[in-house]
Amino acid sequence: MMMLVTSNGSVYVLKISDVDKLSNSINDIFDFLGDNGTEQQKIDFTTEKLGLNYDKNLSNLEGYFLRVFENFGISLYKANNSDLSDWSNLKL
Amino acid sequence: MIRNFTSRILAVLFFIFFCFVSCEKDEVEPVVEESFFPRLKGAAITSKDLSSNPLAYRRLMDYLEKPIAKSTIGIELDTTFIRFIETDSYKSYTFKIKQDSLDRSRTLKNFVLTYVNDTIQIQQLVDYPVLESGALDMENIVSVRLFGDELLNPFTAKCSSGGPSYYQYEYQYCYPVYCSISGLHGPGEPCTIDGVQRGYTNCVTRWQTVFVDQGSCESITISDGNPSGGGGGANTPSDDDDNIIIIPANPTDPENPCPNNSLSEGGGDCMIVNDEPEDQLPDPVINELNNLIKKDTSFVKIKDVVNLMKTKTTDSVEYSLSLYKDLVGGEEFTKRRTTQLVRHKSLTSGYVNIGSFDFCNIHTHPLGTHGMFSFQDIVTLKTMHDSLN
Repeated sequence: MMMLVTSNGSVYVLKISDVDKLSNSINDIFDFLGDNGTEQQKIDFTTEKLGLNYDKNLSNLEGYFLRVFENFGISLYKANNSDLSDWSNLKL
Repeated sequence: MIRNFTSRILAVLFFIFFCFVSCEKDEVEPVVEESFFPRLKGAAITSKDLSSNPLAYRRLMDYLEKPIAKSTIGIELDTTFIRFIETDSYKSYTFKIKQDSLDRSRTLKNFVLTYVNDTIQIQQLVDYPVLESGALDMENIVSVRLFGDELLNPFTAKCSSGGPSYYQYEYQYCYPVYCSISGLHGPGEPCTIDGVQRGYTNCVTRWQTVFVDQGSCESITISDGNPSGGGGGANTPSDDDDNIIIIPANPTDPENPCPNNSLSEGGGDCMIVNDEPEDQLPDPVINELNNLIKKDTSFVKIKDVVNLMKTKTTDSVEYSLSLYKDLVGGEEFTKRRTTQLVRHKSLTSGYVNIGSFDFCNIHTHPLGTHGMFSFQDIVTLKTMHDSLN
């Protein structure tokens, strides 16, 4: 799992719910981007593109993330308190 | 191949979605997809409870008043245990057909009576072959439609000249099976440090599509069977979705009952199917997080780590910490890879420990970066998963 601490104090956890789906989705993005460039360059390109769109959806980053990665086989969780004793599975 | 095709379409949509958002519109209209499968409510009932559905009750009473021999196929139903399934468009009653022990050891025989919109009646004989293990063979379900208004009396069919057409789509339902040894672990993830036991994905045939065609002679034509095989003179499903219902494959046996609002999986387990109870079930990931954090008394102190990281998000660099599993005195514990937070070189560069026991990474996205996971994070998560023992 991956845990993220953001500058506004939010704490998120990303968890794989379907590894095959995630693997296929990532590979298909790499395929879609063609034969030019390394895998890392493709990751960087997509990361940058995603970041630009985060900028346009700052008011609802969670919803945007969930929509973009709806079919990636990943689940997003958010801590509801600073004690990290209460978590929500964020869904569309 | 279908999955590959679908995935490629998704990849294209992924980038179209990007372009759609970044190039042309400031706002994205949310796309809400409704589940393909109907929402169900279910219960175990008796024949008396059937009286709430007058048509079904009358048909059943008519059947029960006759000597069994009058049923041209000599079927006797167990009416003491009926599985009732209700959706927005249909109500379905599944009976176990009485069998001797030898016959039951080979096949579980059910009779399924379905009413679409409280009017159209569908009768099906459904056989579930029994595997050597005693579980039901959910991949080779045999479903035969009976025509006619009277129950289990196919010779009264009004419109059987064309014969039943066979057209069945089976849908597999797959779900993660988490193992609960020292925390909850999803598919592919090791349950124990030696990696012998892992969570996995279980798939069972859960749904079948039935094409409901009222036809010109006011009877119904139901298609079930093999999509590639087809039946002679068969009606085939049109594009009219209103004529298609999706019903669960729900093997029913009073000796192995499933609780209300659940379906039998054929192997002795039951799966809760409707949304309401599912929401009430403990989320395994939340359980895992709670286990990780509440049991975290000596080695990691995740809350302290997170609180410390919160103070670091105003720095112009990213911080991270990787966690791994270790055996201490025969018991599995979570430990830090480094005693201190790892300070990286820039706002967006980070380093994640990848290894057989490295299962978790905590990191910051500092002020000026995005308050959400990056695509790099997602790929790294996948890499971490692949490297786990």
